[in-house]
Amino acid sequence: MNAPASRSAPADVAAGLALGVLSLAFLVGALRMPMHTMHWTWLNAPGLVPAVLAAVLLAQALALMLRGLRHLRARSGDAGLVARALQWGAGRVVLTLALALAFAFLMGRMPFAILTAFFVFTMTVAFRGTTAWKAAASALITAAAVTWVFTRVFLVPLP
Amino acid sequence: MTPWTLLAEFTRLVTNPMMMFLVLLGGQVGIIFGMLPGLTATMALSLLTGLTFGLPVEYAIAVLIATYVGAITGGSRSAVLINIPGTPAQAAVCLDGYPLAMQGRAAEAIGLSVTASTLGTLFGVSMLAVFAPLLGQVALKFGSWEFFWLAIFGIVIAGSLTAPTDPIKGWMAGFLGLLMATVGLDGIHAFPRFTFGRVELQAGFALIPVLVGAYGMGEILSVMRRDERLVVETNLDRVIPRVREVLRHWRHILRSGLIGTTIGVIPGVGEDIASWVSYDTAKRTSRTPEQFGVGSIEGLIAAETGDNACIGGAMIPVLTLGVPGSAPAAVLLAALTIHGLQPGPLLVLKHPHVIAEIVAIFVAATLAVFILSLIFVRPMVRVLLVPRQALMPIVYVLAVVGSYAIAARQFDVYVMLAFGLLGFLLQAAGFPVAPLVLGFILGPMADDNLRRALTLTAGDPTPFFTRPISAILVALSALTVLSRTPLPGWVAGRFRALRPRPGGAA
Repeated sequence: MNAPASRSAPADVAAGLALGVLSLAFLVGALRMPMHTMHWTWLNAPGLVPAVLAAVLLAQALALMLRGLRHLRARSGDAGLVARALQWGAGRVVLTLALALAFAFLMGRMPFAILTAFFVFTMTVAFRGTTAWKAAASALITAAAVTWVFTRVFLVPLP
Repeated sequence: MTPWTLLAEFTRLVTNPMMMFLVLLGGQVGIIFGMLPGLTATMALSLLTGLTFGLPVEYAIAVLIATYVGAITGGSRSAVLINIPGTPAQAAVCLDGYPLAMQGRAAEAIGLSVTASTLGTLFGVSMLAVFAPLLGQVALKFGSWEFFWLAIFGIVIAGSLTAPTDPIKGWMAGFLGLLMATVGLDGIHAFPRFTFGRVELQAGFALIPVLVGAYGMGEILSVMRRDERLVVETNLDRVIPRVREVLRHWRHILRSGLIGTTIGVIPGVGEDIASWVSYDTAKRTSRTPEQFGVGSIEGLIAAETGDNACIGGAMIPVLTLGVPGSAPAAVLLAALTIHGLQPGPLLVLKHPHVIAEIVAIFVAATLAVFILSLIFVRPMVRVLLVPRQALMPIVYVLAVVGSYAIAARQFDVYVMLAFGLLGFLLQAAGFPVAPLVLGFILGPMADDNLRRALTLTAGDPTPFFTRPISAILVALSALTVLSRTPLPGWVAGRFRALRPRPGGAA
């Protein structure tokens, strides 16, 4: 494999670890599926393909993690983890995810048009996308247009 | 399919006012998605597949195809004016488009890029018209062994080409996609796999929420992470290019068209690679390579022709094998499936006119996008100035509605969010998303066909390696993997060491 840049080593270790744990869970789950029943043998058992795929992914994840560990260097003088994450934009990502999750959670619990207007306005203002007046106009137009088009034109039963 | 069938289909389409309205609408939506950095062709198609679910199949496919063509064509606008590619396919266009804009030739660059895009799309679509029926005949010879290897080959080649500096990450993304596709009732015995007793998981993860999440939500998170504002400073005069100026570059147009179409046929690779390879080839064959990167018309034309020719190429395996040639083509494959047109070897047998119809829609969409691209240049530049932070909340609402609309299940919205976060994190760690989605699409093909083939041969794996098409696919997959390991360098070193040196011992 081509030698990766050492700066990606921490990400490689983290990704290798996460995907390794995930594939191990899939492998265990696949091996716990029945391999022989009166309907199938191991040749067409439901767990065969997931087990093979999980084993291949586990091997790749281990290779990536080991490679990352080999290249991992302690960096003195670097900013702290939290400062680096904020500089990267983690705060903005977390805020986006929180608003997106709130929208998904509230779907069906309040009228869709009101929820949409509230969400578009809040997110636009929170990220300083435009002025509050323009954000309010955008929110109202989006809520009205999306609700009307999907319920009346495409006949989608919005929650 | 004869030229007359095609002409009849084309005439039928363009004389249908509703169809033409939808083609123009889809084309314009595509141009807007394509030109706005952060909104991609795949995202546009993912959103619209859910949103057009209620339309009759022919209209829905027309909207999606027009959007696809519009998005790949429209991306050059931001590449030329602000040096940011509207979609990844236009990254190579920035190299010469922006320097041309800086020289006060933005209008000329936009006009030429739109014309090259149009010619590229028409080239790719003509290849689709010629080769799809032929490949369809070959595809009828495919058995379970070949379909299994085709899925693996797709993952391997897409992983290698979308993660050129670190292919293991591309392959891992592909295998993760294959693994994710095994969730739900298995395709042969209907045995529940990884469902944890949840009814919602029995049908597995639905394709549209996965696509919208991986491409749409992932992109929303990427855009919102950065706090960037765009500034456009350029003058636009004559946009429509002179025919003589275009025809002067016919060699680059033909060559890039061929390269783009060929790369389009390769599973999961897509327009961005087609654009880079076309650009690189044009540079190596040009008489003025020193102009590349500082404002070369040849470079601009080659990159634009290549990425648009990829569209037609990417549709060839979609229609004949059920394997997507690019990420947007993967969405079109899903859309065709949702509307009851199962792409694959049997498509032509079950729906004999479908290829002619799709080709005719592509031609109509290409011409519509050409006209729209040239007449709405100035208004579109204003759209380019809308802050991304104000657009993304609206895009998110559309992503939610698109995911929800297919089955009216809130669970699909959560699936979209989960795959969005997964796609975003994978991208942040340097993994490409395209193999993940390709793996997810090809998962059932690999799963069912491996087990079916083993059952047919009572566990004998020999036919996987001895059947001619299987053997070719195995060899290509193995060569692709081996070429990305230190092995070729080691073998070459051994040969060099064994060669007798002049004046010395061997």
